[in-house]
Amino acid sequence: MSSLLRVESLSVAKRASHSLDATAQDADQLLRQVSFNVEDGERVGLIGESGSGKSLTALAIIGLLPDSLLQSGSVNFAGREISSLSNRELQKLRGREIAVVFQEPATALDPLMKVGKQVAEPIRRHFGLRGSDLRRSVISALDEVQLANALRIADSYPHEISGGERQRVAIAAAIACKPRLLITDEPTTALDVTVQREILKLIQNLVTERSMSLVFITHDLAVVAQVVDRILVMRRGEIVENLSVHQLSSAPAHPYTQELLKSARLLDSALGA
Amino acid sequence: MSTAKAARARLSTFHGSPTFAIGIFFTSFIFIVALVSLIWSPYKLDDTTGNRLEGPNATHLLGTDTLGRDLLSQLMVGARIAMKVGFGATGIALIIGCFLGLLAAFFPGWIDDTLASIFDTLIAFPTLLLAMLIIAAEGASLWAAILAIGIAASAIVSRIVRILTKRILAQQYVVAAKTCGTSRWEILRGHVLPNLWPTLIVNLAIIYGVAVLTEAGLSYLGLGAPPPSYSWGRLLREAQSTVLTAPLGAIAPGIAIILLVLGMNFVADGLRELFDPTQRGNS
Repeated sequence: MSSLLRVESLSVAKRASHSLDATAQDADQLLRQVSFNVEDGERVGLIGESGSGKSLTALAIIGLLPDSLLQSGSVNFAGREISSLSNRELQKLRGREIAVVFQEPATALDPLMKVGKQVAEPIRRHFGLRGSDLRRSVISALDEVQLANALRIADSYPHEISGGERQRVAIAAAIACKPRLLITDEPTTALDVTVQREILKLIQNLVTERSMSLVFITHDLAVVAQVVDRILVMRRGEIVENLSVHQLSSAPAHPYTQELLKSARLLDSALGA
Repeated sequence: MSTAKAARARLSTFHGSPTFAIGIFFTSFIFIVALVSLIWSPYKLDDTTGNRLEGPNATHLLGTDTLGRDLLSQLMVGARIAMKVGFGATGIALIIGCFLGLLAAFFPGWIDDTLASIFDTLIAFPTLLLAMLIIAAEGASLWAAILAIGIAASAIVSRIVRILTKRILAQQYVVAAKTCGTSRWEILRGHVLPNLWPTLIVNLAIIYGVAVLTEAGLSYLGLGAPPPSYSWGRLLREAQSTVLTAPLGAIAPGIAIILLVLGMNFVADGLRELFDPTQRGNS
């Protein structure tokens, strides 16, 4: 089986640490020897507490690590080494083959740009559509994320629509160019519970329909278990556990995973579920 | 539909903010006077046929100066000079400031560090002093004054543009745009400039007022436009010696300066309210 995404011993550190002290250098190490694969059509959950390096991993996959960070190891997407691609090649890749949905839909959309235009941008860029063709595919992208009134939404500014609608718009913009890999960085954290469930369902459906690969970043074990096939547990820049969802309840090896699981169960029983 | 909506939003701003309406009224009044002076003024500037230091009367509405020239005509021509100074200096500040500010924000590292310390040093100089320095080197003329004020004000614009752009570039929506494959140039055009503009235009309105005021100061010191182009500051200077016998000669240009500068500040306030995101979507 061919892996769509292969991350091998990816390490990221802060640049220019002048300290000779070994412990200080250690603290500047943000990702340590992170390795994992994502197969074609596979759905992988990346779970861990904040600061564990989940989002950094996502940025490394799409080649957007800030210049102040030093990267070593390999990120290979569909046979191409991300770090060796030119800016232009990366721009062709981003949004077209890999797309990202962020946590906070309120800040992930430009407040001064109409929603329709923000969905249109990647389509225009990658498919070269203009005018009414572009408009039509924007509307169909908005339809696809089940926005009830796509025409009205397209002509609205982000502040004129609800949080759930905004996240649907962000998803529409991400999947508009039919990427092969979708990365969602805590896509439901900023939403209330009922909307959360709808967005999860939407992501699930879209990923299944299009047989996209998915990297689902979250800190919420209960959320991720519904959506993915396999779970990677990250802690302090390392992957401490890599197992399938079925193994999750029976065989978590790492104490941190066991703890996560325990707290999730505690919460469940406290809620009387 | 959207333009009608925007127009209604603007109308309601007039409604809610009388200062904005007053500001627009003052500035457009001066603007119209300046335009009228292009084709008509009561007397020619070199017409010395009037009596010296006349008070207001039917033939000279605002009286005359020490050489018997009509004050109203001088004020009208002065409005034109004020417009030149305001738009000229603000335009220069906008062009230089946007270029340098964006350059600094888009190239962090030594380019940014160098430019930022230059902006800070320039801002530490009072605008008037900096303008005097430039004029001392270039010689006094209207265009030297405009250039000098424009350059001095460009440090302010540069700094605003640099800081705002840095803030915008750090926004999630810019990162999101990058993950969609947006190039640096498209981010500049599509996200940075539109988000920069509201804050920038408020500051430009303020700079416009400051430019007019600074030119009046320079002219008052004899460093502005040399005769016969009489700017308002120059009129103040001329009227200085006769202020007790013919006070209108000093009061009238003083009021003209206040109308324009105050008007521009009111406009800036109104624009700030108009663009304030917390006010958006309420109308």
